[in-house]
Amino acid sequence: MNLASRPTVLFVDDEERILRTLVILFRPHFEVLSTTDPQEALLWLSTRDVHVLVSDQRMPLMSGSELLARAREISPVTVRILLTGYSDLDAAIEAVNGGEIWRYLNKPWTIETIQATLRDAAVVASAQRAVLAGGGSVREPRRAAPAEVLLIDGDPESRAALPAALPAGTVVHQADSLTQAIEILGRRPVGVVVTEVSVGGDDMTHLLRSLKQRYPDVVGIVVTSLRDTPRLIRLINQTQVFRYLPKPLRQGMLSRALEAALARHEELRNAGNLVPATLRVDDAATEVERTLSQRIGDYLGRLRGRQPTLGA
Amino acid sequence: MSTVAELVRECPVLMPDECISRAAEVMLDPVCDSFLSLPVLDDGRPVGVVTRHSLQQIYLSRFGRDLHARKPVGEFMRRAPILVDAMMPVEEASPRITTRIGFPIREDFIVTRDGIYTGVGVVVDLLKAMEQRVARRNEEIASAYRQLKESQMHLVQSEKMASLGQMVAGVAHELNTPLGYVRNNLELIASLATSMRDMADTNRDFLRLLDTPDADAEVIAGFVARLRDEAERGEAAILLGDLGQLLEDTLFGCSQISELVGSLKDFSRLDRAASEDVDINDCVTAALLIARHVLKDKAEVIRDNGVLPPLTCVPSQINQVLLNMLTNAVHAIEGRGRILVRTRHENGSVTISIQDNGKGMPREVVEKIFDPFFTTKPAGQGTGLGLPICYRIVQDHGGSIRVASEPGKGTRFLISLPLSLGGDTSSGSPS
Repeated sequence: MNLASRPTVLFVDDEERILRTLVILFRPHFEVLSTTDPQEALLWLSTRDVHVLVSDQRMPLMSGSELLARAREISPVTVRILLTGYSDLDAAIEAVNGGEIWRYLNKPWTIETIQATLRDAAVVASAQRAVLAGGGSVREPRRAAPAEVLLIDGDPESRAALPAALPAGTVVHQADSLTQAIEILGRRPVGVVVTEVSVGGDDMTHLLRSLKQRYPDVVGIVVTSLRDTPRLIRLINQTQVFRYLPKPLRQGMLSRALEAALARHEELRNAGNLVPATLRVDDAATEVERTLSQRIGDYLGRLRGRQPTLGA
Repeated sequence: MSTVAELVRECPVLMPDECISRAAEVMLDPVCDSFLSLPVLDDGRPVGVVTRHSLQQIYLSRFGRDLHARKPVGEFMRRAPILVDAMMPVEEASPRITTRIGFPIREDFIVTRDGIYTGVGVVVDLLKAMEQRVARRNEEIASAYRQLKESQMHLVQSEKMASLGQMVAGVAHELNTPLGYVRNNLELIASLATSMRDMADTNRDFLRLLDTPDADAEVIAGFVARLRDEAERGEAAILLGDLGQLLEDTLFGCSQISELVGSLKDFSRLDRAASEDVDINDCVTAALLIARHVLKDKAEVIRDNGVLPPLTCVPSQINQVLLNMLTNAVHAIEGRGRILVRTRHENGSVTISIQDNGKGMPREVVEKIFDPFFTTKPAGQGTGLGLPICYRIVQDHGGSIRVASEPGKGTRFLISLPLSLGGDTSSGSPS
């Protein structure tokens, strides 16, 4: 293997024995950096080209979510993964909203899971670099219509808050059922979907996953009053949720999230074909989920006027 | 609720114009044996009573009978009889009657309904009714007390379960880490073993090849190149190094796990009540280990251990107190802080000081922290019994807890335990 082309992975954990295991495991395929000191990790991120960062959450000197958020500022191209043994909702929210993590992995991990995750992460990381480098096949920014926003939530408070939080002139659609949402998604150039976790009894995770698989440039924001860590983890790992905002919604937080989401959508849209294949989300776990995703996907495919950016 | 109506007895009555001799006759009738007086009615309404005492006075005085026997009752009757409404509760009627009745008791009370006579009541019946009520009330109070005591025991139990739950969660998290890497290391060792076997196979094949008389020179050269390459890269050494490291870490992980399990056993020690020769420093170590998962990313713990003589105490209870103090200290810290745990031996006591640099408490909170059910945590998050139970445990050990706090600066709890127990801990303790 050509050593120079090996991706670099950085592990941060306060338990050095875990680091040693990870080093021995990944040394054959990665350039491996590891440290128990988050400050040293930040230093490496600013001086070296790190493809993937895997951080523990609870560490004595700095929390993992804080480290990931700072890593995002220092090295946005680094794919960020939280690896934690604690089920801590606030930390997970911080890791999504601040750290924009790509995956949330549970401890203890199995060798197969972590190997598969890191392999995918390395592919995503190279693709992101190619996009940033302005690789040959990047399309000219399209002079397409500005992105529209879809809110899927019957909650009157969200309905009132959303239009006020958006830049003037942004078109907002509102749906209070899955069918209505799909119908709007089929007709309109929606770039950002803001949704409750569950609407009219339907789990919106399936819709978000199908959307992300077919139209990876659509960015998802979840607004919810549920406080449920396992569901948030699913949203991260299966739908690549961009922001997770607990209700009651705060205007400032909502408008910042929307602004960032519209910008991210723009970025993904301009990147064209390069990103999609690499930002693929996890395959649906169960047969039921696959069937449902397939159905939503087919429906979207039939309805939506524009070509899917991802070749099926 | 019982009323005066229940006390009513039937009694012969007099009219105001009936004569004294008639009253005396009636009074002598055996039906009147239990009465002290006879009611006098006018048109159904009581207007007075003639008492046995007044009749006796008339008949016992000289010529009394000749002078007064023919006179009407109206002249001799007591004009202010004691009247009570039939619907009045006994409890309300009782003080009204007793304040009006003289000593010795010379009359009965008259029971009316809307002013109309319904019968007579005697004081002894009233006293009996009151006695029954008091007995019933006592029973109610005793049962309420029993219930209170039971629910208090439940609460103490649930606080104990809560701290047990916290402990189990803590230990589970602490076990998770070594268990995780021990397992991963074993998986890795298995895959490294495969590489080792491949290397061994190569060596064996090569030796066989060398033993083969007509071996192909090119094949031999291929083997030699491969083995040389392996040797140059030091693959065997790397493998062995990795294996050694992984095995060492795995053993360390196992010792961590057994230490945790051991501390859990020590921590609860449900198998014994009071124990002699307990080193409080060991209790602090165990409590810190159990609380590690909450302390780890919140506070730096600084220990200052004094040399302590052995102490007689119930270790599981002292551990519960220490765990409670440590978790309170963590909860007081916003962001990252410091907890200082100092133990000392002074004046026949062991003192444990637990000091945090958290947000502290205002005086009005400090005054209430040992009150049952007082909590500063949001509803549903604290029972408000943690510190009261700690207080009680320490008291049962003949010791004391003191607290000093300053808002914005921190809090210090000082537990003092005498070296030997004064009283019996096993009976008065909540375990």
